[in-house]
Amino acid sequence: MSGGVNDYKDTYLSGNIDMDIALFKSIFSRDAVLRTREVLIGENVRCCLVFMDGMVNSAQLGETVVEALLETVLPQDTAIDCDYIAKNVLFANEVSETKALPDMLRAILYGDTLLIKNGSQSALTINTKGWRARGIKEPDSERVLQGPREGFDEAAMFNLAMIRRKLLTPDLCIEMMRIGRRSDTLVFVCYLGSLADKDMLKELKQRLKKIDIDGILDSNYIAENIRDSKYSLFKTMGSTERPDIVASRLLEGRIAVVVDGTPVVLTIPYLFSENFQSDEDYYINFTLASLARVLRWLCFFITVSVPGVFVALITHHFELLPTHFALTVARLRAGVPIASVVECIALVLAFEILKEAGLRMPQNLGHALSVVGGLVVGQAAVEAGIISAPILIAVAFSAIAGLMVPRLTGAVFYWRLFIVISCALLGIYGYLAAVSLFAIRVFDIKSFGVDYTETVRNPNFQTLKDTFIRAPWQFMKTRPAFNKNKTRKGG
Amino acid sequence: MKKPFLILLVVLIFAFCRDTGYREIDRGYLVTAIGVLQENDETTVLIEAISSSDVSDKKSERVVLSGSGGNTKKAYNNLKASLVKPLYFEHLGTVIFETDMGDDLDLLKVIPNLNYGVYVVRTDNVKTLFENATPNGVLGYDVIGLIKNYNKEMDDKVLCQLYAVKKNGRLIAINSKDNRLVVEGG
Repeated sequence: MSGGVNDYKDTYLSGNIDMDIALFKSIFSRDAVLRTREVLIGENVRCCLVFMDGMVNSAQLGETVVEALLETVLPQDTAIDCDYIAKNVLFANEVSETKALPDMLRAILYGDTLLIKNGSQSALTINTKGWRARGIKEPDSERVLQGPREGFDEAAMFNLAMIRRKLLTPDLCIEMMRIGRRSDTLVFVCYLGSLADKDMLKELKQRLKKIDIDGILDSNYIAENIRDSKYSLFKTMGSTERPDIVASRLLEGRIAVVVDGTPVVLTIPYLFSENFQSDEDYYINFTLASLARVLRWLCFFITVSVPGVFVALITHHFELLPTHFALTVARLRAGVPIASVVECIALVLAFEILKEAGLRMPQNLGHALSVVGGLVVGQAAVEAGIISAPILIAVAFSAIAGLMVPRLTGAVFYWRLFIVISCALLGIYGYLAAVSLFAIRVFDIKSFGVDYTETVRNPNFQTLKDTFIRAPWQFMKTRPAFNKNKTRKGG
Repeated sequence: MKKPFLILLVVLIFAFCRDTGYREIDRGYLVTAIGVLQENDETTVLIEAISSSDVSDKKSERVVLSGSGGNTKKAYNNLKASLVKPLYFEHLGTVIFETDMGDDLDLLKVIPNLNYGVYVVRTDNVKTLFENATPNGVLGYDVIGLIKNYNKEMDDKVLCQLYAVKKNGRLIAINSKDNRLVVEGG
């Protein structure tokens, strides 16, 4: 027994309504929200509605189902079966007939109402979903100053509707599957039929089918199970809470995975250069967008390199420092009891703690604690001689630069630490070795068969137009290099 | 790509295990000038350095260290042996020889990380120069400033850096007059 609906795949309705009602009650024996409502159609057709309280829209259930059933006048010489009821009695807009008990259970669990009829082994599933969703709200982590402000919520159906509103084309394909032995979560694979790579799509579906897990509560459960490099620090699947971003990625020939119960939608493939793109880049003037892109690349370089290079200079390569600067650093470090490298690592960790605490703390405490943590503790520690100002400045600058590339936060933290240790041990040679390792690692990653550094390893205008800069729209004629269908306009 | 990654990682791990030359900039003497003189049949080496305080008062001070021996190398080694902190020569500004000594550049061969842009000059009285405080407090850099200004003002420029001295073999003379450093020519 896996605990999911498929445990009942070999069970069927008996046709005796009392036994069938008892069957559902026994399946949901410990579920206090299951409701049954017996209805008599005409004089002798016994039916029963089975639904979950709180999941259905009670008004809709009453108007389109109960009222319809009670007020119907049945003809004399006609066989009253489920098909007749579906076509001639019910007012509901979506009704389907099924014999499979797992499908019936799914319907009840998802907010539909089940209608079972005495004498019939099949049942009708009627769309009466009425559970509450959060509603459309701009995602906190993807705010823009200019552009659409819509964001996904936890209901996959509404999310799909938002995507469809952006792409009014029958070429938009949406395939459904269920993943999770107990959660039976709905997962939708979306793509544009004429643009998506068929091999990539097939590979994605195979990986999704192989997921064997109790429950899927968030898209990250899926991402970690199907990604190429499972232990890589770099994300190889895109994620977004914005329908306009999903639509733009679908138009580039990518494939989206929409998971019920989470607003985060995954997209594949995901390239390294996408870590430096912002949602807003395409909604503002290309000069500003290009400047922001260049700054992001520069900040990435700064955030991983500055602490390590600084440590290398003050521990191995004094001759590279200007004389007055070297004397100033020596003076400011006077009396600090810990080694430079230990001080640097401690400060990097301290900044990560401050950042994480800032995310978790209540908003009304945020400002006060950031002043205490950032200014008072930092200032006090320097005055007390526990840490020195030059290293504090280097680490702080690096931490601020790191905020420009939020998608690389995890990877940046680990690589920054590794580079600091390498630089402390081998100086600039350690920096070069660490950067070489970084380059080897990044160039080795693939995302569903596409090289992670696709746009960087084959530099030409068409690949670079959306990498280090954002070219004006009249030059953005082709799709990304991994897409075999290159033409954007027509074709 | 996995093999190059693993090979480089293993090489790095082994490299990390040796003495890697890690130093702390504030835990040594930052040498700014070296003086060499002869007194009582012995060679004396004087070193002017900036030393950071051992307590957290964010101060550093100019110190003059000295060592003597039969020749310049022995004097330097005796000096080194008597110190509690290492000597860092990366920011050495000037080497000053006493006029009577001639141009004995052997000492420079034993100094690690020596920059060929170091200024090498001679003077009549090395000890006076080192012991009297100069206007900015650091003799080694004051000499450099003096010679650069001299070359800016005068048509007949003097070449004092080690690479030039090695070529020409001629040391320029400087001296202290009325608490000021002056260039006396070659």
